[in-house]
Formats: sequence, C-alpha cells, structure tokens
Amino acid sequence: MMLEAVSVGDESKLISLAQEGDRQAFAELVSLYRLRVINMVYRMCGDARVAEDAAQEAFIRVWQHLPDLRPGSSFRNWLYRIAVNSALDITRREKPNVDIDSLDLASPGEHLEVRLERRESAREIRQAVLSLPHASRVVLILREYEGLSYREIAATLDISIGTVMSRLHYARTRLVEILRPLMEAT
Amino acid sequence: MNGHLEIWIEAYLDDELSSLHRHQVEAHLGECQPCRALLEERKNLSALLMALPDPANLKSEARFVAEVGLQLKQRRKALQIIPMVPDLGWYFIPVVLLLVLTFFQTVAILSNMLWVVPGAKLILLDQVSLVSVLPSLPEPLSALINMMDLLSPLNGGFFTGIGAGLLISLMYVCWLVGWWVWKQRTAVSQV
Repeated sequence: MMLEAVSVGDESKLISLAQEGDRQAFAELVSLYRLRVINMVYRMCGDARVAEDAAQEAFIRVWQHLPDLRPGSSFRNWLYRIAVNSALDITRREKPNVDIDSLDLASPGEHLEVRLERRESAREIRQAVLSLPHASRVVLILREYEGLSYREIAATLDISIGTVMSRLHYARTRLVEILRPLMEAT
Repeated sequence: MNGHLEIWIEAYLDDELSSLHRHQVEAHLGECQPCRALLEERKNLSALLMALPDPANLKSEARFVAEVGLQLKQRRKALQIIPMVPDLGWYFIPVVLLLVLTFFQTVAILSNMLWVVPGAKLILLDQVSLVSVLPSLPEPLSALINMMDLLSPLNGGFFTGIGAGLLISLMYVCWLVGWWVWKQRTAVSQV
C-alpha cells in the first residue's frame, strides 16, 4: 500500500485500531511507513541491513508504546523520533558496514564508465553525510530527505526551532566544504 | 555577509519564512551577489543530496511485516501503570523534603514566638508547673505550649537549624542531579 494512497482519516483509523490491539491494522501501518523509516535510518548509518534491523526494532517499540500516543499528536513525527533512537541504539551495539554496493545505482542501458562515475559520486556523498556529527546529520536527513518543516523537526527531536536552524546551517556548510570539488565538477 | 543572514537565506530556501521576511530576503538578494551565490550553492547541494539513491536488496515488504509481527508482544494494560511509579517517585521526593523543611521551620518559628508570651518562658524552662499557669492562659495557647514543649528537642538552637536546612538543601540538590541524569537517559533511550 502506498503512503500517498492512504488518507489522513484512514491512517487515524488504523492508529486507533492498533492502539486497541488490532495487529492487522498495525501491520498496515508498518507497510505504510516501512520504506520511509528504512531510508531515513539508512541515510543515518549507511548500512542497509542495520537500517532494516533498526526499523523493525522501531516498529516493535511503537507497538508497545502506541497506547501512550496522545490524541492529535503526529504519528509520523513520533515514529521518526523512535526510529532515530533505535538507530542510535543499534549503531552503538554494532558498527555499521558502509557498503556502497547496496545502493540502487543500476540503470538499464547505461554505460559502464557512467555507472562507475555515479558510484564514486554516491560514495563521496555518502561519506560526507556520515562524517557529520549525529545531531546535525539527523536534522539534515529529516529536512532534505523526509521534507519535514523546522517545526516538525523541532517537535520530533524535542529541540528548539533555533537549534534546528543552526544544526542545519552547520551541516550544509560542512557538506559544501567537503563536496565542493564534486559540486563544481557537476 | 554575516552568519545570521546565511541562516535566513536557508530558511528562505526551505520555505520557512513568513511573507514579510520572504520579501525582505528577496529584496536583499536583489542587491547582494554573495547571498545569491550562497542560495545557488545551497540549491545545488540539495540537488546533489537528492541524487543519492535508496538502498537496494531490501527484504520484501511481506517478509519485513511478518518479522515485525512475530516479535510483537501482547500488551497488558495493568503493566502500563508500573512505569508511572518511578516517575511519581521522582516528584514525591522533593515534596517530602519540602514538607520536612517546612515542619522544622514552623517548629523553630513558633518556639521563638512563644518566648514573648507571658508565663511561657517559666514553663519552657520548667521553673513553674504548667498547671499553675494554665488557668490564666487561653485554651489554644496552652495546647500550643504543650505541643512545643514536646517538640523542643527538635529545636536544638540556631546552628542546628542552619545545619538541618543545609542538609535538606543538599538532599534537594542530589535529587535535582539524579532527576536530570534520569531525564537525559530516558530522553535518549526510552521508546
């Protein structure tokens, strides 16, 4: 089921049912948010397997704490918060293996040289993002890839909007410094 | 160009400004080449980041959902109350400390006030029998003198009072540090 295909009302209904213990409704919520959570965690740690494990752990925590979710609060922001914490916990337990081969870089009919070049660019971008401090990296990922507003990021991470802005500014400035040769080449 | 303006330009790029601030930034961009260059640079960075593809070779959706489902535990409503107990405990401690401090302070203040009541000094120093004085004192006051007489060991003097106050303050600071550490841990690892 695609996330865009589910209306806000349907999602609220699924959440209510899951809060009452409906596992089928919860499975639909997992399907709905699976890729978003995996992609977000993957961008934080660079390891697809660790990202999947962290996402599963996050969904298990969500199930346990779902009755505590206050009515009217954003499920997505709450889920992201739990996923960020799960990712942090799991990367503390096991060191992620940053593997560029797990990236989906293949395009049919593309020349080998172009593919290698794209692979190298992807590796540089991945390394640059991973070199950021955790706090700045999370804010950058939530903004750039998940499209959350400053207010949503602040609520998700329990920080002020000013802190969101300064962390984002630091992350972008640092990335421009690292990736300047790549940006000038493209 | 200062750093403060850079942040506003990023907020402009992220469409986070009010219409008034957006117009101000646009007016500034019209006359500031370095800021226009910064805006362009940030746009290029966003495009570069978005070019990074999603991970491949993931588990199928069905498998992922099934694995999550297998690990879900039965929720028990009764258990939801248990995690609240430590939470309440944290707030119970300072309340108790405050009550103890208030009690000692009240005893000290009342004891000192009693010295100015006619006849109370003789009773508290045990020079005169309480019975011989009681008829001349109002009923509530005689009851209070009796109570303060019983509590007199608690009012051990000026320095004892200071010491007790400091001890309670120290315990409060210890609680504050413990509470802060606990909040930090739960903020990171809870849920």
